[in-house]
Amino acid sequence: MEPQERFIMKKISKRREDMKKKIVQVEKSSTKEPVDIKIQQVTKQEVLPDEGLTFFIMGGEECSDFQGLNQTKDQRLKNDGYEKHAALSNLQNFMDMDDEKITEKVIFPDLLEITCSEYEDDQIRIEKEQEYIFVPSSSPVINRDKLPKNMIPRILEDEGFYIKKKPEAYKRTCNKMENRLLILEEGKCWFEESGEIISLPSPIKQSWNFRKLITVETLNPGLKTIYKKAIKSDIESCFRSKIEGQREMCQLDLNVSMLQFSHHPLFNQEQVLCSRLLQLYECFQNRQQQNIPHLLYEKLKALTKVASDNLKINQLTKKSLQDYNWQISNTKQLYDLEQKKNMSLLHSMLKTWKQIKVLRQRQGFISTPIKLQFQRLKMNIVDEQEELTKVSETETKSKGEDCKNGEKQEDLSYLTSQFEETEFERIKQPTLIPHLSLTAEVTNLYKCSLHEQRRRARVQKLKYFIKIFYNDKQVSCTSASPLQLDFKVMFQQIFNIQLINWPETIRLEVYEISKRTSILAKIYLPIPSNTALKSKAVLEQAEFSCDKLAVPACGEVGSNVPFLLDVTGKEELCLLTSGKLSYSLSWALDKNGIPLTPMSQSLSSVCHSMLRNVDARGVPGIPWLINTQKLFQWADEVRIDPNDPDYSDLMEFIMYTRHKGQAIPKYFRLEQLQEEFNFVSEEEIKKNKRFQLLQLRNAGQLDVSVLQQMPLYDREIPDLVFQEYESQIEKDIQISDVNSITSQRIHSINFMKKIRKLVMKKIVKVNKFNLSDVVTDYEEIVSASQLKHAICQLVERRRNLKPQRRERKKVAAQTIGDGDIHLLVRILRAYNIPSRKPALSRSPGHDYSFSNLSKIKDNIYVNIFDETVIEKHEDHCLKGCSGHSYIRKNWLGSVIFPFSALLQQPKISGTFQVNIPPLLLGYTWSKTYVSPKEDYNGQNLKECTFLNIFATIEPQISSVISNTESDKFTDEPDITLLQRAQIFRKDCEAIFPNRRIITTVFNDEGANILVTRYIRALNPPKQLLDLFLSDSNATLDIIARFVSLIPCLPDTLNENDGFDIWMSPEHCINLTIGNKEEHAILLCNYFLYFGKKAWVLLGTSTLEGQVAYVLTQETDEYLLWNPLTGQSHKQFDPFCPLQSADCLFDNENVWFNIQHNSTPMSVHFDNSRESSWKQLLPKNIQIQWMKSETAQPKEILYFDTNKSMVEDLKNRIERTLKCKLMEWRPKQPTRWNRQCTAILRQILPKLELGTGSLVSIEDESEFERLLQFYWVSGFPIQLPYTDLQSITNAVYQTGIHSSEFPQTEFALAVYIHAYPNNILSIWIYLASLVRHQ
Amino acid sequence: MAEVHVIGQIIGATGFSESSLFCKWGVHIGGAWKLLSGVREGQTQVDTPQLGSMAYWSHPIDLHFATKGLQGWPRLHLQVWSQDIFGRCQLSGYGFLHIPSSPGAHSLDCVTWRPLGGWREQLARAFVGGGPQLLHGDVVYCGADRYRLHTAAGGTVHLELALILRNFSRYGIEC
Repeated sequence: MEPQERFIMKKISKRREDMKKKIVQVEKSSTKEPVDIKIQQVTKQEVLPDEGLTFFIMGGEECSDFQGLNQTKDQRLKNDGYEKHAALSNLQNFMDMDDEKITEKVIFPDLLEITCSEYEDDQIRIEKEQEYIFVPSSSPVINRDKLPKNMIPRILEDEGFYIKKKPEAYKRTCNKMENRLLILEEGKCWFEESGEIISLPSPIKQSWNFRKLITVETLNPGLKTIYKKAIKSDIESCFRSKIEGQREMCQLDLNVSMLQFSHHPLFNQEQVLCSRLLQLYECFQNRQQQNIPHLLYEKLKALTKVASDNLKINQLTKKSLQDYNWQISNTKQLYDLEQKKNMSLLHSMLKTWKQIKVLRQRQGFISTPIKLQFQRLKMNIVDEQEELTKVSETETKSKGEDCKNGEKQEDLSYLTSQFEETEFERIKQPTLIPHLSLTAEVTNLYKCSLHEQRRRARVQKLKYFIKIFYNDKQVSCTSASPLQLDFKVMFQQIFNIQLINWPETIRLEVYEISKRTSILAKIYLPIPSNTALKSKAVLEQAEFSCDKLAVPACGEVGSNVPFLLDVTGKEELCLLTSGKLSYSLSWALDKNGIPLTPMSQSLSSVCHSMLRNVDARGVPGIPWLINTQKLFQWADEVRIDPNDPDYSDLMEFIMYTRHKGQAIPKYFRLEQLQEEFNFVSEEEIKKNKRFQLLQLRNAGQLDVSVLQQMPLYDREIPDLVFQEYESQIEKDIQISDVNSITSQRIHSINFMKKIRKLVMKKIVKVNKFNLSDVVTDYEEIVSASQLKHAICQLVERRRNLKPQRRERKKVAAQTIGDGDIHLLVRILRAYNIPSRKPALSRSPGHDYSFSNLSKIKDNIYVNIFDETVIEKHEDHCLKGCSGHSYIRKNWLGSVIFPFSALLQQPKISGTFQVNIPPLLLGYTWSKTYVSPKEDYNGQNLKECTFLNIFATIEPQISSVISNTESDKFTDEPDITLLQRAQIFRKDCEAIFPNRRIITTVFNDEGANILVTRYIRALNPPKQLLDLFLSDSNATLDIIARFVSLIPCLPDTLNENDGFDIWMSPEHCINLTIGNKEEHAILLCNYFLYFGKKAWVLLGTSTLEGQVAYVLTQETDEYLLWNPLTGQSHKQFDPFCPLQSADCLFDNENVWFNIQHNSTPMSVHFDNSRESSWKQLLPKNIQIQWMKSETAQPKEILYFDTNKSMVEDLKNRIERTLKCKLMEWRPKQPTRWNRQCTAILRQILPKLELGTGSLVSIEDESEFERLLQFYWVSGFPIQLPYTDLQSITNAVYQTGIHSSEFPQTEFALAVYIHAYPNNILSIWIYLASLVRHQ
Repeated sequence: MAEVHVIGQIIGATGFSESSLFCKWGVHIGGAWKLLSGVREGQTQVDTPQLGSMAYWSHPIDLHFATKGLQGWPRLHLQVWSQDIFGRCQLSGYGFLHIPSSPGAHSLDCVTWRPLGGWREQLARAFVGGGPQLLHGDVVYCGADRYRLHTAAGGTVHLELALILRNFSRYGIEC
């Protein structure tokens, strides 16, 4: 279609051109009129059939008309379409006519009429339009017109009504509007009484029917949105910051108050003098405050008085008199000196003041308001003078009397007294008291010289600001404040610095803005002590100076440039810019009034502060402003400016909370009418057993085995279920009624638990889950060996009787149900059991018992008993009828190993030394002793019993494999070191997977640190050192004993999930609790104190599982110390329970044993050999790194244990044990033998320190007497004090109560040996006595 | 004493313009209610649908309440977040719904919205990510006058919750 169309248009335009040509022709030949007419006629005829053409032309004209009228576009488009349409319809005609047109071209001009375009004059048009359009004028309208007739405009605002601010509108617009409204008939109702247009909502109206302005202020703060950037959520870091936020919400408040220059380059000479005067005055005031002359004077007075008094009574010996004299003269001298100093100070002040005055006169203006006045004090002087003369009189008197005694001294003393008197005379001068005031009038600017004017102008141009650096990082910056004419810069700004790191430096940098900004001085502020709290803070002053060169220009003196003081003439000075900054720095208080100080570092408060931390931080996530009420109060009191941008956050918060509280006026009502609709009370819900049970189950505190399904009804739930839980709660609470030592123990245990829990939480939280932790790949079903085994089984011939060795399969602990685990303990044989004294002729029988292993923490006890059976024939019974036999078991000793040891290793087997109490009553060591298999070199084994034990768990339980990746979490700066340590550990584990290695542990704050940090020489208690001054070995032993008496925290395998959390040794001491490693570290640190070479040795022991020993290097051998028992073993001791020595560390390095054999006997402990010990750090690193070593305090302060508390505890233990013994023997009467008890009491104290001769002869003789009547068997038990329960358990273990002999009597003695820091060694002597028949 | 047990799951979300979505959810209960067991709030994994546009989370919800009154019936509030290719998270919708009050299985849809913010914020959101978030999240389930808040529609979160009510009839409440 389109190309065709275009074609047509082309044709038309062509024809038009043609026509134009014709027209021109016609016009040219216009003279030929007849022809013209003819043609016209012809055209007229032609027009009729050619309507289409005319229409077409007309259409075109119309179109242009439309355009001229500036019609809308779419209209035009429509028209265009129409035009096209028309053109198309005419197309046919055109074609038809083509021939004719060519022949009759001449006729065309008659078809067209050419006229000029129509034009209407603007003026006329406007006039026309005026009839229809109303344009209101913008001239102001008179009020009279707007209001009803005779009404005076009423302005409500003037009458005191509150009128809201009207929306703004241009005056012209308003006027126009008013004019328009006036024309309108009902327009007047738009005006209010004041004559203005109504532009505010009617205050009486309930609802507004207009759109409210949405501005930031009016938006409900609760609905406020905040633009948050899309940030990659780093879970780890977010946790960390959260934790740290919890840990140390510390805040320092720094108040930068004022800067006062004591010298400034823009000082003029007067000001230099002025500042000098000020300094002098300050000095004077300080002296005045100290008032040394007065003190000396008083002393003098007192001395002379005493001397004279004594003289009167004639009590003084010559020597003491001399002494007095000497003292008096000495004090006198000092007094004189002080007086002189005061005088000189006054003199110099006067001089300076005079200079100032001269200068002021000379320069003709005053530029400092300083003024000095002197006051004469006469009365005082006279008094003092009198006093002094009196004093001297007495002195001379004394001297005189003294002379009687010693004639030779006469002359001398007289002279001195004379001399003193003259001195007093000399001082007889009126004292001047200066008064400095800043009241002098400073000369006005225009009265000053040109120099001064310029100088002042320059002063005013200067501005100063201070940047605040915390730990060398810029924290904040004060606003720039101008220098005042008195060279003060007022800042008065308070900065709150919230801290995460321990403050090391707080630096202020003073900057000067003149034309350039330049640094003036750096001021380091001392970090306030923990007690410097905000409430107590007073302004302190920090001095600073700057050696910047400032060349003087006009009238000033400059800085660091020598200048001459005009007044003095000779004096050449070179002053540095200096000044003082007034500030206060203090710790802020939080809303509860708890100071936001960081954890105190001082030793004595470690325990307390930690406790506080635990308690305060036990509640996580306290929102920032919890006590809104207090906040409101404070806001009201302080009247903070709500518009101050500093407070905008606060105001917003207040507004928000107020807004929230609006619906709830005064009282707190969460849900209205809640009470009315409740169908049960709160208590009922609380009491509901089912709910309790559900909650317990949710908290994971319920043993799952108890109830598989929750019973639906309360009646189905036995009360028994809650008992365990409740008792646990009680245990936590019930610590009020105990000895302070006991409560300390309980506290520290709970505290440790809490700390561990917190640290664990922190570690675990931070420890991100890897994908592999969450998603596990399919398990490898068959290992090659298993497959082979299965195939072989098929092929194998059945030989039922052939014994086969089978690998013990490890079973995951989770898969084991009740009763699946068996503990196999086999006692193979025992050596050298003490034999009964030949009172009765029965050989000892052995009985082995091991006690409960319900919980994994328990120890397994192998107790050795001597069982006696006595056949008792009742007299009245028929002979042979019945023999009554009584069984009695005597406890001889025990071997203890923790259950965890069994879990850590597949089996326990070996010969172990039995803990035999040192003084077994009624038993002796056999003379013919059979030595155990192992060779033994040296040492008397006469008094040791050994037991050959084999123990294992069936089936073997695979312990939790702890391959925790804790490398991610590191707080400490030496991160590379830690990484190195981690890599080292992994390498070592790869070489010897069974050997223990610990390179990094978590400290009490959850930070990962190197183990070497724990090692540093620590002082043992002095009391212990004094005990054996000469015998160093004995001292070491007693220290090892001291450490072993610290209660040990039983650590189980799964408790820590493979994370080692070690407290520092001083915590260990302060809390009197520690785990194996902490014991070892403490012991090692003590040994280091003696200058010994000591290492902590990690390894495994057959008996105890994983252990930490201390290795010390003696002259020719190595000693292994077990910190838990305090025993030392030589390296080649066959009975050393240590099975494998895996890892050594001290304060410098960590070594891992890469020797083939790790049993202590075959290990070379020389760790410098790199072929046998792999070391963590190469030698060169050690040195740099050692310097930054500050993990522990240098000294531990020990306190003495409270004696009365110890006594109290002793009585308690004795009482409890007696009660318990009776309780355990419900059927027989329990009698107490006092005589025996008394003897035992005497023996016990000797046992603690006694090594060799245990029982003295006296005791022996007393015993002899006792033994005549009784068969006595008894033993002492020694144990560190943890709690009463453990003591009663230990006594119960011995089974002494189970004696069935009638008329058994018991004796019980308790002795507590107190070491410092509440560390106690408890001795219990138990004996049972049976009267000889 | 009445008990309400809510067991179900957050199935997924549809209609969000972003593709990698995850959902944070929480339960708000009145003072008369007590949570016996279960967790009050949680977060789903990030789901990037390969097929179709629905993000599936299948996040379990297991809550057990005891109540002494009807007021403050538990309500679920949701926040749908999207993660972009850089692993940055931004909010794409707040939603809220009451836990149904009749026992049985319910399949629920929760429509979501997000605050629009000013034009600058919208521009920033379109180009650099992030976006305006409510300063106080409780607006989502509190009836504060929200009429001045300008929001844009997010998608829909689908949930399936099964309810077990107990002992309500004892107090004269018919469920």
